[in-house]
Amino acid sequence: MAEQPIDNTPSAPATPSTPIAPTTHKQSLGAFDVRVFIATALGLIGIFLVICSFTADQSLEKTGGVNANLWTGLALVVVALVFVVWARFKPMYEDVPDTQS
Amino acid sequence: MLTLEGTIIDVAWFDYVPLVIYFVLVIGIGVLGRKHVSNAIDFLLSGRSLPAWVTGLAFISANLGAVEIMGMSATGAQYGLPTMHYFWVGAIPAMLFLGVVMMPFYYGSKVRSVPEFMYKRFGVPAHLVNSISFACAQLLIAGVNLYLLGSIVQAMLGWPMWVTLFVAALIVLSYITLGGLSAAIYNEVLQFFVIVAGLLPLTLIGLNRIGGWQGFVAKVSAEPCGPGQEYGCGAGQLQTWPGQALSGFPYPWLSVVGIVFGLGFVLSFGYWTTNFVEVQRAMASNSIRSARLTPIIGSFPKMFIPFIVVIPGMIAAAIVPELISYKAGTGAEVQWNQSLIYLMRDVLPNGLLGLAVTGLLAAFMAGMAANISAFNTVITYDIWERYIQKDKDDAYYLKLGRIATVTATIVAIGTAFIAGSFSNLMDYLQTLFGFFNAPLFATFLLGMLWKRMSPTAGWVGLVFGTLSAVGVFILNQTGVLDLPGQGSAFLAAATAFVVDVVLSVIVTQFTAPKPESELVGFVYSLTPKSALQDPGNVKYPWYRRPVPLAGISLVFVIALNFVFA
Repeated sequence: MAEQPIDNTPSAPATPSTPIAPTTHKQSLGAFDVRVFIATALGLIGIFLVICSFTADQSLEKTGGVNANLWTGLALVVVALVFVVWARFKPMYEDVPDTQS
Repeated sequence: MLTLEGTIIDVAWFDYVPLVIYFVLVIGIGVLGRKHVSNAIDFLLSGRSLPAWVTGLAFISANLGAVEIMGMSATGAQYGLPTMHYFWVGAIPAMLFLGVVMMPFYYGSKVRSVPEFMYKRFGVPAHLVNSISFACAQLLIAGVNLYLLGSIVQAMLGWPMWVTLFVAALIVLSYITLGGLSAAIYNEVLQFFVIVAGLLPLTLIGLNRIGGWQGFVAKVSAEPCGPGQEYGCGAGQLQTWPGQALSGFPYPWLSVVGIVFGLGFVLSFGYWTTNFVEVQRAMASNSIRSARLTPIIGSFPKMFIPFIVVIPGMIAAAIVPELISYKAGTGAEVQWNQSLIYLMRDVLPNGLLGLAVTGLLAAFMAGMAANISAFNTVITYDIWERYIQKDKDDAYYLKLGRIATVTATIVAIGTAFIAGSFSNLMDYLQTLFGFFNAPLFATFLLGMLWKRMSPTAGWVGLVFGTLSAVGVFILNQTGVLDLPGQGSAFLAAATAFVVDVVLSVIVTQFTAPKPESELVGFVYSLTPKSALQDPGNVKYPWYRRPVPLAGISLVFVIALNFVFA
């Protein structure tokens, strides 16, 4: 999973997406940013696993002695936070025609 | 088929929690995405607005379906590391070639689908061959994906097949009809992370159980030689080359040639560079640079995916009692396809088990959704708009795209039921559709590089290339040729490629070429260089430009081949 944060600045230097397009302006996607969905999914599942690690049977004989629910849960929460921070500091935009508000 | 059988794993009630979280989000993406779909281009091509890392992950996620995960882990369990060739030889080089060489034509020519490129370059007959065979293949594969999903859910959760089929189809249907390609792509990216979150812990805990990497090597080496393992058993499974277990060729050098040319060149280039399911993801990006970066960025996760698919398959074969005895030729029959599920049963505690189940379901739906969203674009633009109802307004085609999606889903459910009853028939059909890929690649490549190539040569090459592949397949089935394993597929693809090229060259000599003015943007020598890349490309640092990044990817994958040789 190397190299994901390559590009999230749409049309950075000089490329209008279609040459004949009417004038457009950039509008933040806000909550409809895929990173928000990823963070929500991984974060909630992470919290669920942490809860499991305290309440459910850990089956240590299966995992070879590791509290797998706890560690996976914590890792997922950390990944979710990374996505939140990334989405917060580099928002995604879409082109919206100027006639629309 | 509809009976409730005993399940392999024991899920607790709370194992459904990750599943619910995931499905609520998937539907949520569709519902929220609806607001962002205002015209047919939005619905079918995502408005060409997505950044490259999003389309790059969707690119590999679209391919990471049931066939890939269950199939590759099963092959890993059976043959070991040679399975890596499907990724390192059979995918990465072709993905890089797509990004570096072919994508500028696809994206720069402003076509909306791969068949449309065929239309503009070669005209009606070649276009019809390509679009109709592609549309049929997508319906078939969506059905196969759906069937596999149903059978896996049955093995995991004990739901009857028909319940799973309808629930899964309904979910895929709802988010594609609501949010279109954007929602499909967003979901694919989400699916990618959920798949990794499910499979990575499975792999790590499995490795922990087996005693780390050293324990893994020791355990696999100690496996006895079972039936069907004449080309590599025990420690032989830890070497990727010469990969005779995979190709089934009797000589090591022939196996290397077969894998490099048959799998690596013809089969994989045919699949990755002309398959609209994949190319569509790149077409949804926001610039030529992003479109080219899509498969190149995708190649990095792609080369590491086998570590969480093939390796757990091998671990399963080494520590799951049923698989050990079956592999040694002493135990009752088990399905290799279920290797991962056995491993989940043996190493995951409840909680993580739910996450792993969610990851697998996510993968299966990703595959199916990708097939359906590619199908509806081809039906709408390539068949309906071009041959049946031209010049309608945009709302008409948007509505049509939605109807096509519903129809495709219903047909896929039907196909899934047929797949359950006639599995051999489905195998044959899938092989048959695979035969279209190799000649397609030959025709596209020649067409992009050689301006003289005539429209007639386009469809003649396609049709007879495909027929020659079918011929090789039949010869092998009837025993005239005797190639076990994947060897016959490699040979069929190579034959189709050569026949296509030779026929195209011959036919072109006797038929009229297209006027050069109509080929601008479609043929290399007639297209101004500036049309093939962004003017701003050079302003980016090297690590955000397609060609240098593709070079790094290539170095990585060559290194991986040496490390695991």
